[in-house]
Amino acid sequence: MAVANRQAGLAPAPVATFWQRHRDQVFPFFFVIPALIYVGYFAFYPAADAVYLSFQTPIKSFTFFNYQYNVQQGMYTWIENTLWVTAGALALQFGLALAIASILAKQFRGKMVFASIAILPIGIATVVAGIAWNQILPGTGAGYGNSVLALFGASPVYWLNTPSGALAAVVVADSWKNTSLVVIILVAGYASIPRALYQAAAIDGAGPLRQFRYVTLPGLRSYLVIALLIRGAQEVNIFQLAYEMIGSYPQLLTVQVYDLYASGEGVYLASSAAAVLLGIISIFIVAVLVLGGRK
Amino acid sequence: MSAVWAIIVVVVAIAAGLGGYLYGKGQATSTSTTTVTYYDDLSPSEESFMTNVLIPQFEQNYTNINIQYVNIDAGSMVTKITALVQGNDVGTTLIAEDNLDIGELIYGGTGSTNYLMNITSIAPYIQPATMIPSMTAVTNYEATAFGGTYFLPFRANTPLVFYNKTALKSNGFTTSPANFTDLLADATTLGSSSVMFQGGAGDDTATEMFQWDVQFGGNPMVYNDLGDLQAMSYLYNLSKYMNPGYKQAIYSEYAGLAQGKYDILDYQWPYVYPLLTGGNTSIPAMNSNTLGVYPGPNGTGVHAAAHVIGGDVLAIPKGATNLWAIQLFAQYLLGAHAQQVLMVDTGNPAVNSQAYVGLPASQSIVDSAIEQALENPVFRPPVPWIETWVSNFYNDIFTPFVLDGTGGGAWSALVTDANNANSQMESYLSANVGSAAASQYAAGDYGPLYV
Repeated sequence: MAVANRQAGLAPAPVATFWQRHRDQVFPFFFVIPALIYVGYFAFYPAADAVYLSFQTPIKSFTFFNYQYNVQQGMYTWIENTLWVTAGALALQFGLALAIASILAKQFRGKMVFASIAILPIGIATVVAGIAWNQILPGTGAGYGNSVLALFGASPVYWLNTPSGALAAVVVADSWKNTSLVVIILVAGYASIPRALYQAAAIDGAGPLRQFRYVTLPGLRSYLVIALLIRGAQEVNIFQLAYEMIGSYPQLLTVQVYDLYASGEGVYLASSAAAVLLGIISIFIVAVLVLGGRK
Repeated sequence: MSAVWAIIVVVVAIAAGLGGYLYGKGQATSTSTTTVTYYDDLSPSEESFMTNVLIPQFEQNYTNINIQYVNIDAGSMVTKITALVQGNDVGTTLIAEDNLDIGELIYGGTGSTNYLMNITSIAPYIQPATMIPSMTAVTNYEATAFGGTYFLPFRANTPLVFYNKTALKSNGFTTSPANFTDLLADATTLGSSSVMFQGGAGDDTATEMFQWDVQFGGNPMVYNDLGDLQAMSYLYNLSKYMNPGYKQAIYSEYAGLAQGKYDILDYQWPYVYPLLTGGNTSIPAMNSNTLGVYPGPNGTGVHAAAHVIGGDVLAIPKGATNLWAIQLFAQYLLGAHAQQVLMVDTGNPAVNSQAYVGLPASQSIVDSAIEQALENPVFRPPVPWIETWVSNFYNDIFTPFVLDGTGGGAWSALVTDANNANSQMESYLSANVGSAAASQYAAGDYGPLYV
């Protein structure tokens, strides 16, 4: 083109700049830069800072001391307890949520009342839920749970007496509080599954279980992934409700981070525990995305 | 058009007038009232009393001083005050800090920075002449340890033992357990779930065990001397008779005593006395016939009756301004009136002996126990790493040996746990404070304070 113009005695066509050539690809990024700065400063920077601090002490740089120290303090137990609570709570929440959502997917009299009751716990503040469940399942043999048992002549139960009992109590309380969120997501998922698929499956002789396995679950897949991402990350981070109910025993990773940090001079130890927590959540998110994204 | 101009002129005039009024009001306020920012760590009921009763009473007497109350937990207070001092932004500030955390402000991060003001010259004007002798001894200790006065005792706190008189009487006990041998024997008779202990958190548990270690003749700071081991072994044996709720029990656990869930509450801070005698919808009110309170069982040896003294101290951050206003408020807080009402309404033992004069009869029971306990004080050393000491104790010894029962209570298992805690404390000091501190620790130079 430039040669033809020269031969015709015309001025050469202007060369397009980098910006002119790539404007359509680059321009949209300017709209997300503010959000990126916000997320970067308020999310990624603190996380990176915590990881950096985890390798520091007031008098040493780049040391594994904090990790070694926390391991000797029982960090493997903290991690184990946290994973048990996470797995137990997610199993309970998703099982209940699938059942509730499948009910809410149908039309029946009183559906709005049932839906309101099912979703109500999400509006309760976590600290209020923790205090309430502490009154229901305290460790002293008192509480509303034991009052109900007393009506049937049963002896009081010390719900928090063993580590497994205490963790189970937290799982139950947390599931009561957070199943609603999963229900809301799955109800939306149910609504997206074409009714015709169920009709076709019924015609082919599929019963309820096979319909659930071959129609419902595949149709809910992306919604389950979203719910698992949201609830899974929140579950690993469980703190407020657990702290209200069981305090520092048995130990959860988040509670230990708080206890170490609140002690004043434990910011480096707390950062190493927080870095481990960050690693667990990151692995979980990647795993869910990878497994949930497979066709 | 002239109407438009008229409207504009009127609007501008009103805006200018309003602005001038507000500016003038602000100027008048800033020159006539000094605001003291007061940081404290109080429970909701205590905070309500402070902000609705005590502070308004002070402001009524000193109309040119306004107190801005800030509720902040003790650990966060250290972070906050450190930041204010480092940022030269202290202002007119007074703090009431937990005695367990004040060391972090005196020693700073690496043990070389003091974030508190030296108040040696003004302390005589703040501290009343009628301070309890053990509290006066604290300020004398400061002069020796720190070369000056940096904090003043404000709310002394000492653990007491509360017990259900009716339950003990029905089992044949006419008096409370006089020593630890009696306590274990009584618990055996009273049965399982008869004793409550604060086993739910580092600070609460370690505070009680600090006292027990001293009472057994040990140095709690090292974890593993004979007295420490004997105290922990005793605790393991007593745990068989504890209400299982002890595993989560902290300073807020007291209701079970009134509800009949346990018979001996060893221990709790005195603030629970008005709560137990007051009662509410879920806690039956106790009275002098049903509720007993005393300093607690004695141990063996020289410090058998030692009582750990906790509580809060008043301090002024370095760089604070308007010292005259801070001084007046601190003086008020340490005065007989404020000390007495704090004691009666919130259960905090007074450091001013005048506060114990003319008390209601119902208060005399717990005050008698407090005064007895304050006669044999022992303090935790104000070192900046005290919370790590607490954490080590809880994670390395108490959790495996008592809570988890690892080792089945065997002495050898206890020795292993205690030695682990000792070596971890030393390695922590080496990595975070320096080799000198670690060597001092290894030599046993850190121990309880007897003033």
